[in-house]
Amino acid sequence: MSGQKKRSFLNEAFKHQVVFFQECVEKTWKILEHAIHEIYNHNLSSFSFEEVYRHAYNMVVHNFGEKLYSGLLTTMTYHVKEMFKLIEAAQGELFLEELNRNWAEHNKAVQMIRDILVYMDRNFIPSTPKTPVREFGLNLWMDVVIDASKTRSRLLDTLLELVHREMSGEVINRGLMRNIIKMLMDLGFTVYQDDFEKHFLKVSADF
Amino acid sequence: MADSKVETISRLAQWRIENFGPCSYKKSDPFRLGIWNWHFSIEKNRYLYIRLFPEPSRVSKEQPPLARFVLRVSSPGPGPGRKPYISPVHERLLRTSEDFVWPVDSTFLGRFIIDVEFLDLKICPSNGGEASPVWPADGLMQSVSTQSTLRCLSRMLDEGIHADVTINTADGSLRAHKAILSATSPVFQSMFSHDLKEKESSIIHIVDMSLESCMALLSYLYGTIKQEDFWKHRLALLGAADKYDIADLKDACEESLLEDINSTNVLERLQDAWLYQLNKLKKGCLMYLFDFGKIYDVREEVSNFFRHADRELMTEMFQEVLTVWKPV
Repeated sequence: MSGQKKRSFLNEAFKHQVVFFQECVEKTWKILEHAIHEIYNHNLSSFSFEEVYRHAYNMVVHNFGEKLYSGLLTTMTYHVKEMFKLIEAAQGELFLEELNRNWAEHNKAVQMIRDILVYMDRNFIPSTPKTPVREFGLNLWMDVVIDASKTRSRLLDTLLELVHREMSGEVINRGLMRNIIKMLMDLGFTVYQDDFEKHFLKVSADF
Repeated sequence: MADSKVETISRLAQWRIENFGPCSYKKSDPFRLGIWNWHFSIEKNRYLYIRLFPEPSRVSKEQPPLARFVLRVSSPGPGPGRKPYISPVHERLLRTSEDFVWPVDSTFLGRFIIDVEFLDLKICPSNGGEASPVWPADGLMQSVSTQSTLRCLSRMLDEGIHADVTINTADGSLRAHKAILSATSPVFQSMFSHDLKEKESSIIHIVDMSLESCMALLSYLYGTIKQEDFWKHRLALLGAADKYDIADLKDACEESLLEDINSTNVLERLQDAWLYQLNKLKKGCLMYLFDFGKIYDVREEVSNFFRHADRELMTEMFQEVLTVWKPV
């Protein structure tokens, strides 16, 4: 008899839990969305990792992985597009600096987002054809920033100009150059080869 | 005879012979080293023949010693005396008195001392295979060290020795160590590495755990958990193991939950298995319900369960029914 009672109680409790979470899932997502914004705004120190992680965890465990993932994509895409506007607006040598600075910030943000949403990365994404967070971050940078119509040619021109200046004996910002080359390598070796190496070798031969 | 006694200490055995002259053969009393009783014997002929062998017994027959040792013959007492004779290092399987004999080309007479120092002693299995050391140096050391480490960890937790983080649970707080938490869970590791609140404040608010179950989690991480506490808190521990990515604890909880499935808890277990992606437990619950036909015992609850269960889970349950139910 008591077993019977307990059983129906547990089912009730379970039902409550599910219903409760469905009601607050919007609120949970809003908190997470806000956190992702603040990661890109470098303003996360007032956030508790445990809290943000718990919200993300609960969304995945209660079957809202899809919502979390698509929300993340939208929010990240927004920020990378904002970054692109800054990069695009930068003139002359500032272009490389802006590109480098935003790339570093984007990377840092992706790393933090991945750590906070690692449960989604491990337990939700593998059962779907979706791209893991880190890879998505790279692809996004590639699509929004590098593949934008003018970036490639601007990047190539600026880099080659730097190379040219150095060959003529000028002192250039080698650290910046190294970071940009590293970015191209991180995005995939073919990117580096197509965008830079071929042209560099050609220009060097001409020199 | 007084001088047939052999003294031993550690891995060294020493036979002090008081008077060896008129008789040409002498055998020592047995002495114990490792798992065997040993004898020395000396025989005077053209040479002085020294033998070392285990006492004939079941042990020495079935588990004969494989020994690495050095022998030494010397004169007793201070003074210039005679230079001792030292054997090379021998490595022998010793079964009988014929297996090892060391002829010493010398004229030791009267009083002298024979030493044997065992560098290593192994048990040779009679059916072949690898010999096992009789002094399990590494294993013993390891278990001593493990024991003392566990005691230290236990004190660190109980007495809060250099504790550097406070955990606020739903109903009370605990002190722990960032290093231990980070070493056992990648989630805690990230928590303390990013510039978020916890890194600065060293306070974690774990609002979804009770004080007691959080204490059980910590005692698991510090290696001091008791079986009864594990049993009592295993559902909370399962949740925490899943949330903080502690794989071995998750496995232990799953194993434990598999052990006592019954008709009052099977649906709940199935739900948990689904929630935390525990395939073995899920399979166990489905077998319990369908292969063993216990679903008829929980009919009422099942209809209630179906109202809220995940669609995919129901699909799996239906598949299981189809597999089991083969109309003739």
